[in-house]
Amino acid sequence: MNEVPLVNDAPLVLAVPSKGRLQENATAFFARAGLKFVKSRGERDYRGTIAGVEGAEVAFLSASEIVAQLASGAAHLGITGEDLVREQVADADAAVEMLTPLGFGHANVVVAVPQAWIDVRSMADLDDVASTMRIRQGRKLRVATKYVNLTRRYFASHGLADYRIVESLGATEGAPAAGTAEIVVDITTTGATLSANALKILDDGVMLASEANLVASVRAPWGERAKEAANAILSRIAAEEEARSVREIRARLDAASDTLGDLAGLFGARLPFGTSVPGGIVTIHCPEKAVFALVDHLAKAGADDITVSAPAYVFRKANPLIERLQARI
Amino acid sequence: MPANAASIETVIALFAREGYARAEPAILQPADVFLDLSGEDIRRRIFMTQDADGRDWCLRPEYTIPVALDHIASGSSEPAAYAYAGPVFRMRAGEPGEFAQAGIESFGREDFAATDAEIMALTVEATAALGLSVPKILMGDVALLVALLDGLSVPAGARRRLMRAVVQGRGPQAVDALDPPAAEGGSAHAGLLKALEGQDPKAAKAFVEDVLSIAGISTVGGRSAGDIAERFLARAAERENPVNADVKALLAQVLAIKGDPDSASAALRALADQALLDLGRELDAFDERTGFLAVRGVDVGTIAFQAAFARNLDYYTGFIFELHDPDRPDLKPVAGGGRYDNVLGRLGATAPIPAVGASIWLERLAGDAA
Repeated sequence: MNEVPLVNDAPLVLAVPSKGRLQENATAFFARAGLKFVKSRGERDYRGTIAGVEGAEVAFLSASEIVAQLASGAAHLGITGEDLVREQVADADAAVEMLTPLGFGHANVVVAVPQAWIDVRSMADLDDVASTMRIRQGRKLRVATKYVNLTRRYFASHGLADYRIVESLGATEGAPAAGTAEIVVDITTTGATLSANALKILDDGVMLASEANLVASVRAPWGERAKEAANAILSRIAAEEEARSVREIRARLDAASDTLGDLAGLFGARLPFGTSVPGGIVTIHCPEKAVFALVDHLAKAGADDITVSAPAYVFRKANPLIERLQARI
Repeated sequence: MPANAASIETVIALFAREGYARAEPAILQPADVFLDLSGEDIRRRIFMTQDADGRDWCLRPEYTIPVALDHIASGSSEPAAYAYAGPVFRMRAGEPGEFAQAGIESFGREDFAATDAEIMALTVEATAALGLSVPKILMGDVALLVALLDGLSVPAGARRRLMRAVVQGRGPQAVDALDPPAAEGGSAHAGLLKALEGQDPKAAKAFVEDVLSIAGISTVGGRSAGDIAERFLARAAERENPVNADVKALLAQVLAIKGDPDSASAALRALADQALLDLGRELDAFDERTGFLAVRGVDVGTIAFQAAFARNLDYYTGFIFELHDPDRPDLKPVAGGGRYDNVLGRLGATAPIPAVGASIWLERLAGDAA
C-alpha cells in the first residue's frame, strides 16, 4: 500500500456552487477574505485553484452534489445551505461541522396549507385535520415536498402520523392547485410564491431557518497538506469576519490609558497593542455598535484626534473557525 | 447463519404440526402498502428502490403484509393459517439490515377467543422450543378501551387524543389528553367560533363560505367549506362540553388496571357496574380467551395484563401481546402479535377478513435450538 503517504499530500478540496446567486455570493465572500478563485482553463472549467494558497483545489458543483461530497468526504470544505445538509445527510452532525453561517442564502423551510383552511393555524390543527381526513375519507393527507427527511422528522416531533409524502422536485407550491397534494413543505424567502399560490405558512410551521454555511467534512482525508491549506483559508476568513465586526479607534490621550476605566466591561473593547503612557497614542478595537459611545467616553477623558477606521483584516492567534475544525478531525 | 437455519426448521415444523402451512411470499414487495399502513416514519427504515415505471418497491420489512397480500390474491374465502420464517430487511443503526423473523397468521376464523389464544399459545411454544422457557408475557386489549369510550360517548377528537397518549405509554395520565388542547391561535378564532356558536351545520357552512368569499379565497384544496365549518362546530362543542370529571376519573382508574387477566377482568367488571356501563359482551369474550389460554397450557397467572398497553392503533384492533426474555438487558420483545381485523380490508380484500398473528425475532432468542 504505497498510497498511504499520499494521503498527507492530498490537496484540500473546497466545493463551491457552480451557478446562480449562490455562486456569486460565495465568490464575493471568498474575495472579501482575499481568496480569489482561478479557473486556469476558462470560465467553464469545473476545477480551479485559489490564488496564493498552496494545496487547495476548488470544485465547482451543484448544490446537492456539494452536500453529497461533504458527507462522503470527497470534499473537505464546502459552501451550501443548511437545509440541504439536514435533508440529505442522515446523521448530519456526525458527518459534517457547520463552521460559520455566511450571511447570504437566507431561506426558511416551512409547512404551508391552503389559505382557505381558515381553521388551521398550527401543527396541532393540521394533526387534527389529517386524522379526520383519514377516518372520514379513508385517505391520508398528502404533503408535496422535496424535503422528505426534514418533513418526516418535523411531523414526527409534532406527533403527526396520518400523512403521505408526495415527492416533488420542482414547482412544489403548485401541487395543491394541481390536486396532487393538499399541503406543501417548501423553501421560501419572502413567502410571496406561497401566497401567490393561495397557501399560508402555519404559525409554528417554520421547520428550519436556513442560510448558506461554510461546512467542513469530518470524513474527508485530512492530511497535513489539506490541513495547512484549510488553516490558510480559515485564518483569512476569520480575519475578515473579525475585521468586519470591529472598528479601530486611535486617539491621543494626556493621561495614561489605564485611567479610562473598564473598557472591556463598558464597551466590549480591548487594547490590542497594550496600554499607553501619558501623552501617548492609544489604539482600541471595539465592536461597531459601541463606537460612538466609546468616542464620547474618550472625549470626556480629554482625548484628541480620535480617529475611527475599519480594518481590512484582523488576524488573531485564537481562531474560532480553526478551533472548531480541529476539534472534529 | 447456521443457528438461524436450525431455528427456522424448528419453528416451521412446530407450526406445521398445528396446521399452519408455510407461506413464502416474494422478497420484493410494493412499498406503498407499508408506507400506508405503518406511516411515513418507516420510510427511513426500509430498503427502497424503483422500477423502470417509477413505482416504489422495497425488500419486505416484515411478513404479515406480504402474507396477507398473497392470501387476498389467492381469492380464497375460506379460513387460512400460515406460518413463515426467513429473512426480513430493515435499516437499523449498528445492526445488520438483514435478519430472520418467523411467525404465524390466522385469517378468516370467526371464533375470536379461541384463535387469539391459539396464536399466543403457539408463540409461547415456539419461543420455548428456541430456548426461552419462562417468558414474561405482556397483554393488552384495545377493543375493551374502544367499547368503554363508546359506552361513555367520548367525542371523536378527545378520543383520538386519549388513544394517542395511551400508545405513547402515558398510562392513567393519558386522561389529561381528553381536555381540548390549550387555545392555540384561540384569539384569532374566537370571533369565528362565537359567530358559529349554536348554528346548525348548514348555516355554519354558509357562514364559512361567506368568510372565504369575503377574503377572496376561491380554491379550497382537499377540504370543503362544509368540512371546515364542521370542524369549527366540533371545536365549539368540545369547548362548551368538555369531557366531565367523572368520565376522566373512571378512565384513569381503568387505565391503571394491571394484573393477571382474571383479576383485571374482575376489576373492569366492578368499574363498569359502578358506572352503569354494559361491557358484559366484551368482558365475557375476554374471559373466554383466558380460558382457552389455560386449556392450551399457558400459565395465565403469570400473564401481565395492562389496560393501558397499546401499540400501533392503525394496525391492531383488539388483543395484543408481547413476549420478553427476562434475561435480555434491553427491553426489546422477542415476540409480539395481536388481532388486526381491519388490515386485510385496507389491503384490498373485498369482504372483511378477521386476522390475528404473531412474529418472533429469531435473532433475539440467543439460546440455540439444537
